[in-house]
Order: sequence, then structure tokens, then C-alpha cells
Amino acid sequence: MVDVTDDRFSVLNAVWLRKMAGQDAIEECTGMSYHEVGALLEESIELGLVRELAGQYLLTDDGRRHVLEYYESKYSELRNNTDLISWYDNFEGINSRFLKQVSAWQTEVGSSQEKAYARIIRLVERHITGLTEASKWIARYGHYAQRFRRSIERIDAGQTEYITSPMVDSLHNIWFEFHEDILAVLGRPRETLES
Amino acid sequence: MTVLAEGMNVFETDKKPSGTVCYLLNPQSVISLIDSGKLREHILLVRGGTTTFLAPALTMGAIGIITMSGAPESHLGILTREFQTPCVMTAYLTEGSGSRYVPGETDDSHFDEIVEALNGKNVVLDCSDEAVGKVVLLEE
Repeated sequence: MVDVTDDRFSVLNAVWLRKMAGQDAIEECTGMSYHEVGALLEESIELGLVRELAGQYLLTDDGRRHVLEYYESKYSELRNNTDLISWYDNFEGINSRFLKQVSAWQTEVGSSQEKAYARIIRLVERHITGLTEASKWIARYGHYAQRFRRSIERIDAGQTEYITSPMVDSLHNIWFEFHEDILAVLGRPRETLES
Repeated sequence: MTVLAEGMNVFETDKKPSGTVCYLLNPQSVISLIDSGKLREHILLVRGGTTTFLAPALTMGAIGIITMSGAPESHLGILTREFQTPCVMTAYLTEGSGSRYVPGETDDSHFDEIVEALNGKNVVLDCSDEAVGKVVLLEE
């Protein structure tokens, strides 16, 4: 049985949340240095938890099992925390609105697109406040808030790909990862070993 | 022209991807298909609109997707727009039992019937309409 340390979990979890990720993306997800991520990836490949494909990293079945088992052992008590569950229920409401506005931003033009963008930013800012609150339960949630802030700064500087592009640390990518994360914390992962 | 199935079109496009429908059940089947080097020969069929395990297939150049549930305003819908990969969501068969997906009410027989009817068929996706995407049988 491979021991999954918190650092190794951070790297495996980043790959699991993104489903397929380059080293730079894993650095952004974890906040770890290039060398730390590189060493943990190399070690995880040797242990058969991660594989490399065209410069991107994916989890093996064993890797997925380790991630899900870590969530199970680390967060089983938290799953009964009614404050967290209530926080999550509120997030799901915000999530539906976020996805609708992101879709609108992708499909609308002109003032309709601008309105969708303004709504996206309002929802992200509200979510940042929520993440800061939720970091009392799960410390890494504070890092999602930092990533959102950084991406908003990049968008403000004209890098609009940071709204939805899957190739950068965009608002949608970060949101998508967080959604996968909270579902796994609560024991409701979309992606299990069987499905 | 034989339309096998219709569903919600995620975005309007003139692209007409064609290939053999390949039903993907889990992350392992996605990786196996990528490993085979034949990803671009297939239109990918998945059960859910929340099927996040398709992300590697999109990254590696999937040409077309059919889902049996889910809405264009979903993570997967957003990703397919970004990758400009034509996608028909919540597809239903134009012939057969007439079963339609209803969230929380649809049982496995609905999905099994669609997989049975589409898996292995040579099709082309027609996503030229704003609202409706079509899965058209590719005549030999």
C-alpha cells in the first residue's frame, strides 16, 4: 500500500480535478514549486499512480483509487457537518447561475455579452467570499480564492482567455475543479472507480 | 437522409464530423481510446452531461460528442464550445420506444436503448441548427 502524504495528495488531486494536466497547471492548482511538483510527479509515475501522455499527466486506476480513499479517510467526519452541507447547498445555487452566465458569455455578443461578464464577476466575487469562509473547514479552499483573484486581475489586464479557456487557469477551470473537489469532500464524486 | 437521433445542439456550427459511434462508459475507456490512436475516427457517446472524464478526450482532439442527458449550460457544454467540438446533448432516438430523458425519472432501459441503436454506427453530426443537433446515419 502506497502512503499518500498530504503533498502527494495535493499533486494527485490536482491531476484528478483537472482530469488531464500539464506540470504548469499542477503548479497553479497546488501552489507548489516546479521542482516540488516535478519530483512528486516522477515519484507517482514510479509508483504507478500517474502516467504521462503527450506532455500531460493523468491518473491511473490506482491513482484514482488513492485520491478517492484519501477523501474518504480525511473528510468522512466533515460529511456530517451541517454548516458545511448548508454552505454547499448555497454553492449549488450559485453554480447554476455561474454556468448559465458563462454559457451566455460564450454565445452572446455586444452588450448582452458584457452583462453576462459582469454577472460572472459578481458570482465569482461572492464565491471568493464563500471560499474564504469555507477555508476554516478545508484549508486549501483559500488557494482557490487566490487563483480566482489572480485570474480576474489577468482578465482586467486584457487576457480574456482567463474567463473560460480550458488551456489556462481560467475562471471556469478553477470553478470546475472546485466543484469536483467539494463533491468528493462530501462523498458524492461524479467520477468513481466504476463510472 | 436517415436521422437516428436528435438532441439539444450546444453550439451552431458548419462542422460535420463523421465517424463510428463509440460508447464510453468510464475514464478507463476514454484513456484506452486515446491510447489506440483512433480517437478522431469516432463520435463519442456518453451517458451524462456531467461526464467530466471526457476532458482528456477533448484535450486530445475529439471530433464530436453525443450525450444522453445534461444541458448545454453545463461544464461539458462549456468545454465543447471552447474546444469547438460539435456536441448533441440529451439525445433521443427518432424511432423506437419514444423514450425521453427526464431528470430523476429515467431508468437504465432508456440509455441502453440508445447505446444499442447508436454504438458502432457510422454517423455524421449535423449541428447547423441553432437549437437541434442531429445524429445522421452515414449511408454506405
